[in-house]
Amino acid sequence: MKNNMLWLFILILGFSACTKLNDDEPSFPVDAQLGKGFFVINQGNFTSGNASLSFFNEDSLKMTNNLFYRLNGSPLGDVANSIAFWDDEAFLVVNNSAYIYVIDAKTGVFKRRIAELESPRFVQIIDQDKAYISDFQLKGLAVFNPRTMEPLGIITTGKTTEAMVMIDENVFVSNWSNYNQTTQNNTIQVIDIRFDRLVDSIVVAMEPNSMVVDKNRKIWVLCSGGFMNEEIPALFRIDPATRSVERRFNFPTIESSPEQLKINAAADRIYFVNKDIYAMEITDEQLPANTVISANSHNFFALGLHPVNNTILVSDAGNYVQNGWVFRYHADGILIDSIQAGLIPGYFEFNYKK
Amino acid sequence: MKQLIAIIFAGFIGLLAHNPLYAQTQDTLLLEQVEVTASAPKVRTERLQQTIDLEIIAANQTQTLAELLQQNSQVFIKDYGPGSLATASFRGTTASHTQVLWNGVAINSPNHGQVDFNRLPVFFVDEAQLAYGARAAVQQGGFGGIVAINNKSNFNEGFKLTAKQAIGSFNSFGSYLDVSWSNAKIDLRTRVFRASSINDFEYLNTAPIEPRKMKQQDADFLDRGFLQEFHGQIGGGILSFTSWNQWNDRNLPAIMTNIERGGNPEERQDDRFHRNILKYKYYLNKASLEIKTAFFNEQQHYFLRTTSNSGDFATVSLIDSRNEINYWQNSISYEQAIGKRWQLISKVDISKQFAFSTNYENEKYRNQLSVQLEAVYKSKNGNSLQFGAHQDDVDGKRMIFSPYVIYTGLLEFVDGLKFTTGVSRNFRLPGLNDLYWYPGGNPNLKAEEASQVDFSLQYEKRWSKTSIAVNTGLYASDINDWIQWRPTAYRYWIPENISHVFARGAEVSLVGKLSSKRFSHQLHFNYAYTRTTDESRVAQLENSQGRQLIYIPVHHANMMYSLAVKSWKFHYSVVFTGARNASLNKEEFYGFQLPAYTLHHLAVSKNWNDFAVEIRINNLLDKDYQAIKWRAMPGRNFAIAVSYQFKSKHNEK
Repeated sequence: MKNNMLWLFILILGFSACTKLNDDEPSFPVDAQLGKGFFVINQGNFTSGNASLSFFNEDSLKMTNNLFYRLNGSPLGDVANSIAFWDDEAFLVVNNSAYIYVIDAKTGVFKRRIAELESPRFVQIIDQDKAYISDFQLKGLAVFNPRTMEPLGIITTGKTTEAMVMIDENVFVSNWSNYNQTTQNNTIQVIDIRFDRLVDSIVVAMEPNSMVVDKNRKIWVLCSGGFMNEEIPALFRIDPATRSVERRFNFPTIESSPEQLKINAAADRIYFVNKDIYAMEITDEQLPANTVISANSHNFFALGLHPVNNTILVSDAGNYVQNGWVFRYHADGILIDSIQAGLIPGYFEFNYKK
Repeated sequence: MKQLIAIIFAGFIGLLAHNPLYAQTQDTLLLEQVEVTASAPKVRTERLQQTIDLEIIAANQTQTLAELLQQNSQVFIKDYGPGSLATASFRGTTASHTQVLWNGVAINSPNHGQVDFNRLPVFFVDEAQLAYGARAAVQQGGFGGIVAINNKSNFNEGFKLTAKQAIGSFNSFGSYLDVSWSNAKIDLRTRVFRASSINDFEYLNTAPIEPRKMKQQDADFLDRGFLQEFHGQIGGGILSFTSWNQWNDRNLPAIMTNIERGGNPEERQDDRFHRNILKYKYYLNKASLEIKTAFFNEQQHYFLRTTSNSGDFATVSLIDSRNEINYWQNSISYEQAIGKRWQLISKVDISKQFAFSTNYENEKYRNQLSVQLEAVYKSKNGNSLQFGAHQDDVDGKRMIFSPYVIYTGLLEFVDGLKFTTGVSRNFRLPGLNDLYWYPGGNPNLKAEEASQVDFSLQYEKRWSKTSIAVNTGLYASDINDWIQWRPTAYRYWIPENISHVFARGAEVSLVGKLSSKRFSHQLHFNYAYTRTTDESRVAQLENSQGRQLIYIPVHHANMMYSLAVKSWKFHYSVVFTGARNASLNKEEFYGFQLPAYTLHHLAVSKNWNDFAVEIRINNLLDKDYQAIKWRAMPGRNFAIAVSYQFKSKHNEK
């Protein structure tokens, strides 16, 4: 009996040798050119560290998921939010890991980074020596050198910051989040890039989440009306020269939450997500009544527009805990194809212009 | 004459001790096993499925219940790190489906339904029992199972004092003091503990572009508390008062991907609880009556602050969340033996919860009435049938009728072999967070409902110096209206009764003991095979049907071998945790998978009269692993504990 127990002990101990090893991710050639196409920033789940980067090659029509990990052997981080380009580099903003990774826009290989940020959301490159980072929690913009990644200070705005557009010597930045903020989150702040200083603000509606500039150099701002639907959502057209609202379009119901304002290649037609996909000409006098693309059972999340042929990209985040999908549509709303992406595909950006 | 009898008796014992079973000689006497049963009604806890060996409890006094169960039971412990949250789940369910009873009163948080097992010191536990399947259906909530921890009275022990001091890696300290005095009528006992750690262990952070060794930060904790007991034999019964008070403060470390956040984040959680139970148990002829009242006050405080990196260091983010629950439960239970074969149990529970939270719009209440009736029949040859039901009323709403039936039968073709089969139906109430969280709480949530069936074979055999007990079982649970938080057209999520979860699996446990003149061996082994999938229509549409739910391993096992030689004791344990999904995606991606891992632990102790020294080596092979994705875990670490025990000779009967 004693010997039997000893053998049983040894057998059970052998479990320790049977630990299943995780299969290695198939590697991606480090020097391979990605080609022409678009990046997808997959947010991942908050505090799960499973954000990822995908790239769709328009020639091969192939989506490469987990691109950052395959190329650089490291996870992208926790809640990736956006990507911005400058020359041949791409700036990946990883919100909850509080850093920005710079990668080669042609190969996806990591080059450098800046860390110890607060809660970064978007990057606006001013010039080769200066860039702004908007922040979900910080009452201002962080400033850094995009070549050296050296922090240069903070522009205090008194309100959190989100979407940015640059026109001449001003950056217009929306106050979307009211996180730890007692004043209402319903303004567009104006920053003078010569002095890195807040110079003005324009009142819009609650939660201005996205902005675009049209061919007439007017700024369009989309407001969702508040996290708890406190106000009627609205679309604004702003004259940046006078820093005033020219036109306000109110949405028909307070329950709407329009987001993801984008503009086409000709900068004369704007699109947004309000459960479905809508579009309107910049000369229209009212909001569109009809959809361009109906969501049906999809959970439309992010929107992107092709810089040349106006192909519409829409992501479906699904249940937020499984891989999402990217749908490509012709400009008239006819489906081209659907491709699986990562967890919560939240942002698109093409790696080329016209 | 007395001396002669003593000599004969001593000689008899000496004869038995001299001859181990494997070297049987002619002067060895093998006594036939005789089972002694009492005619008094058995208390409900004796019908629970598994009792943790008292020796195991004694050997783990400086540990938490999470560590004890992880190494010595089939319960799966989900551990966020040393000193951090640790939850327990059975049979493929979640932590909120594990009912935890302290002296018969549930201590699950009414907010979220879970218990942090790293906040339960083994030092405060006299008895730990597990129940699962139909045996856990005696009250609402325990779809997975019940963990029952109890304090026991000990009369006529005189004065006893036990003091332990532990010191370990990463600036870990534990101080434990147990003082008691009892005579034939009164038992008073006070236990105090203090445990802390800086938890600055080194680990390999694989998240950065250049993986590197780092020291864990902001993972320190400080827990302290006391347990006061009074038991008195009064008027033919026992009056008991137990008061468990604890203060737990801990910092919350960032996950590996977020280790370089700016803003000097300060994130911590401070919990306090004060749990008091007053009970009187009166013994009648073949009956007992118990009246109990319990009052708990529990407070949680979560705090997060970051400041600006600029010179003014102004506050950038601030979350200051507070919860307070007051819980009052009154119960009366009566057990009556009828004849030699029958036993009837009835119980009525009335409870009220008052909850205040900065995350609710206002104060919330919950009132619950539960009536339980049960009958147990035991036949002459040892087969038994246990059947009963509980009916609950919550805030004026009648819940589903919850019956259970358990049959145990002897398989006489093999001596010591029996089978048990059980069928039950039960429900679990939504937590107050599910109902009232702002925004998103859904006051229209229904209770989850489960139908369960289980079958097990038990084999138990004892010889004079050896015993073996084997338990193998199969189970299946069908759970409807499983609550899941889902995204909505608004930007916040809401909980819905949306999932239909099917949990099934198999379990094996083995306990082997062998004693000789010099050595005493014990081997404990547990293995669980668990498949838990969402079979709802929603899961089908979302293409996650049939996929193992996240963080539930298909395989997990543990083994503990102990050897006692004179005043030395050795314990060696191995814990295997199988691969787990961290998402419902089918693809093999590092972010969605957690690989399997095995941990080895060794403890050696030596007694000298009133003193004992124990040395532990945890994670002996310095395994680098993650129990939760991106949460750092320590490598090999050490602890040494010194204890002193004093007992007076009791002189009163």
